[in-house]
Amino acid sequence: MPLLQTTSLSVSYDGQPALRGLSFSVEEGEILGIVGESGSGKSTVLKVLTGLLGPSGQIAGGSVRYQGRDLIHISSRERRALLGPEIGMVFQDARSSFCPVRRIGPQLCEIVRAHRSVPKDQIRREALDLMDKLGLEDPARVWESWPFQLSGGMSQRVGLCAALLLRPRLLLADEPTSALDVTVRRQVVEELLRLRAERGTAIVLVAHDMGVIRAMADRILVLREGSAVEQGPCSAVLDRPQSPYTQALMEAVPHLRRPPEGA
Amino acid sequence: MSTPVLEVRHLCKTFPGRHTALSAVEDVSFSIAPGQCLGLVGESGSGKSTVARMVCRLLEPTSGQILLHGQDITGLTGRDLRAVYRQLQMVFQSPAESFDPRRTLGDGIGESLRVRGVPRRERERRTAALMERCGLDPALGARRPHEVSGGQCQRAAVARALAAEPILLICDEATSALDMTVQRQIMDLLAELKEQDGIAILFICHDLALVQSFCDRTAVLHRGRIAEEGPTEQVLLHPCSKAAKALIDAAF
Repeated sequence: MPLLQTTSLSVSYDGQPALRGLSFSVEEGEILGIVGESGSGKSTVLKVLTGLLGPSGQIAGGSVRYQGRDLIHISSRERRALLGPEIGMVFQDARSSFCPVRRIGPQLCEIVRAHRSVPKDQIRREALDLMDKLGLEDPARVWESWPFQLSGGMSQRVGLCAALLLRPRLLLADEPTSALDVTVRRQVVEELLRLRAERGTAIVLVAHDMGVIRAMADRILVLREGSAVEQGPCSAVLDRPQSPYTQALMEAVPHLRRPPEGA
Repeated sequence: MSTPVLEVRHLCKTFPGRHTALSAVEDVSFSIAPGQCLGLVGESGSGKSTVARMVCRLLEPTSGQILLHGQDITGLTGRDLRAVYRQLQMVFQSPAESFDPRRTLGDGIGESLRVRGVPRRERERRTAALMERCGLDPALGARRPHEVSGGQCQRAAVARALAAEPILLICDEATSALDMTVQRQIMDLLAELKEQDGIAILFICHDLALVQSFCDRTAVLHRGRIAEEGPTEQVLLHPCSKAAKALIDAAF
């Protein structure tokens, strides 16, 4: 049984279809990359999985199952228990997911202690260690910071840290590296891959940076206007795209020609 | 050789601090010829945006000179400075934020024409022509910035820049927020402006592949200094400096 199974999922916003019969699955420990232009439905997929569709979004049909459990017809109480320790989420705009008038440290403690009773100093130790691995300089200072004192790239990594502290089995990541510059981006990608290897975390990765997708994804789902135009192993989709849409998408990506090896 | 469109000589910017002053840009010099594009790359905090902000006089340099088409614009103020602004235009990362949300895109694009006293009929005609040039349906001129897509809004930002008939365009991460296919369209438009109209471009970008495909020359900034500058092919394929090598190694 796959960890996550979505079957013929259709969603519309005020009658406008956003997803049209979308099916995909994610296995334990697998990284699925979702690509497509704005408006293709990438974010809607994540909103369905996290129950954040809002009043204007209606699920018109299909099913979503996490370890066999129905994620659509689930009570909000059950969903709250699942989101965090089982399914973690990193938003594109991580800063807005923190309370602006409280320091980072207490907020991280609150997130963890909503699900498990862990002593605060243990949470602090784990958080500082994780921040260090994600390339944040001076983690102790970040712990003491207010959200507005962090740059965009720093907030993004603190958001990632918040999600990873709960050790989710499935991580949903919406553009987790877009606010980072190249050197930090590489560090975060390597850390996520290391966590996958260590903990077997499965990841649904939404990104428009094909370099990050190529470096991380095992399989790729190409979305267009709410339908899957192509899905398959990463290298097959990126190097030998079958659909004209994926071909156009790949042709639009500039490739860096590098210095010859050993130069 | 013709006069460079932009020449920057020994530019420095120091931000005063409580304990120690921060030297954000140190002794930066470069020039851009007509129809040429210079890519400015480097890590966050390396001084790219500070250089751009000084060139368009949003920020006062601590020392150094900025020459636009041979004219020293470093100390200009008031009316003289406004005349200079017509010749250099900027395109920013988030197009929607650079338009007045309460006014239509058409108003925004035609504003520099209005300021110059172009009559309304003529202004509307030229605004529509500029929009068409940038691949936009002129009907979109009636919309407000949040009513169009990010790509359409960025095209409108380019159209607005062109309305002033600039000789220099400064693009600060102008395509980073856009989808790949939309990015491609904007880059095609910029290439056309460069080749057909001879507009010079200062292109600030963190995507090295994009810089490689578009810029004639590339300068690598590291901690406020130029670590390396030269033809893009040479800098990205045969880098000499540590900073350039590190940047290329880190890129995906």
